[in-house]
Amino acid sequence: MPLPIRNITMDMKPASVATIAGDAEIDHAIATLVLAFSTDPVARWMYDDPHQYLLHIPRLFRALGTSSFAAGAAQRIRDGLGVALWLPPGVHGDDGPLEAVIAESIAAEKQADVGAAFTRTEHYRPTEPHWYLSLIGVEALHRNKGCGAALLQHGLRRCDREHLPAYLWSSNPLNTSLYERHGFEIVGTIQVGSSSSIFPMLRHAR
Amino acid sequence: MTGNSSRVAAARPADMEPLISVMVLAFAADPVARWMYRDPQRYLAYFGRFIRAFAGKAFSSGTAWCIDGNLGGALWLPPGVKPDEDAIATILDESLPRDVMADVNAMFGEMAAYHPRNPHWYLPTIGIEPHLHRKGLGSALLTQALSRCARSTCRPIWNPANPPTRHYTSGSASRRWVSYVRAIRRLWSQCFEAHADPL
Repeated sequence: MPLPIRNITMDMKPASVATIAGDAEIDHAIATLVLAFSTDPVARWMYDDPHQYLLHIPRLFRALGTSSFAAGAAQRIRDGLGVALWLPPGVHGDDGPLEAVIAESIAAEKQADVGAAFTRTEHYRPTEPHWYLSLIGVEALHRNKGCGAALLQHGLRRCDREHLPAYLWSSNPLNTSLYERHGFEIVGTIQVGSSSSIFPMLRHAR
Repeated sequence: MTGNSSRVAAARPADMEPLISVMVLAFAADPVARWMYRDPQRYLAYFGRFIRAFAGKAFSSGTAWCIDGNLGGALWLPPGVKPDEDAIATILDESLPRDVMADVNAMFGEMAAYHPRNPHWYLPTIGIEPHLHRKGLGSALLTQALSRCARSTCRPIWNPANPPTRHYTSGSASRRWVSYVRAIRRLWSQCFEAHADPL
């Protein structure tokens, strides 16, 4: 569910990227993502009530990020204002905790649509080994400073070293151009029920 | 959804928690709020409590207003009602990093100095859901409240923390009001610049 990063100018000095390690850094990363996604169309479709958003989205992100943290595939801008959670080739997140959070926290009439939207993002996922960018977010006050670009570059360098493709789905149309500048192409559009549009994006192996 | 079709209503006690959550999300990109609580964990843990101390009396005074359910709120304090200064001191003491504390106290002191001596309405906090900014909801909230102020002939003031609120000051704002806005914005931007870490 990559998103809040906008129109980064490319001429700024690259921000320094570090691997997220230890409970304190994980807690900090979750808080960063909670604030970064508060304007995201898909996150706010799932939790349109602000109280529900603040209550449940931290648990959802934690469930989404568990495998990335365990694999050492979660990165932060060194001062913690931006975060990217990747899943390495062959590592598939455990859907159980994620489904449990959704079942507990999202209104019944919306649950089917959320489940269907998530399932359809899987249809566009490459069948060959690939890196999957499950979440990327930069705090609103620190956007347009190159944080998102630095996080993307850091992850994509690894893809290129291993000559592997990368996959993501953009939950915010404002961010697709950034991903395109880093070599991703939109491979479809997903829209379910009352959801906003979701854009699966693929970056071929290099 | 536009300001034209928005519904402004008096907040009920049950609206307090949702409106505090709106403020937490609305101020996540506010320069002053994030100067006070730069760390996202600290911000999420404490900013709601700070708003309760700063503007919570709006609920007990019946002068909290919400728009379109709980998409935004304006927490006004009527003439004679002040923010809960003891609660503010407690929460700041508990939550602020030491290096920011002295400056925040100084800022609140200067803010207090700008309050008119005459009876006035005070708007410590107004916020709109961040994904619904620039749709006229803030203007609708202000228009409704200011028409009440006009009826009660009290001069309103508020804290223009964030540059995007600038458009509120165009048009009918009084000269004194604008100079207050400018002075506070200058003060706060100085505070912010002094503490924002370069990225």
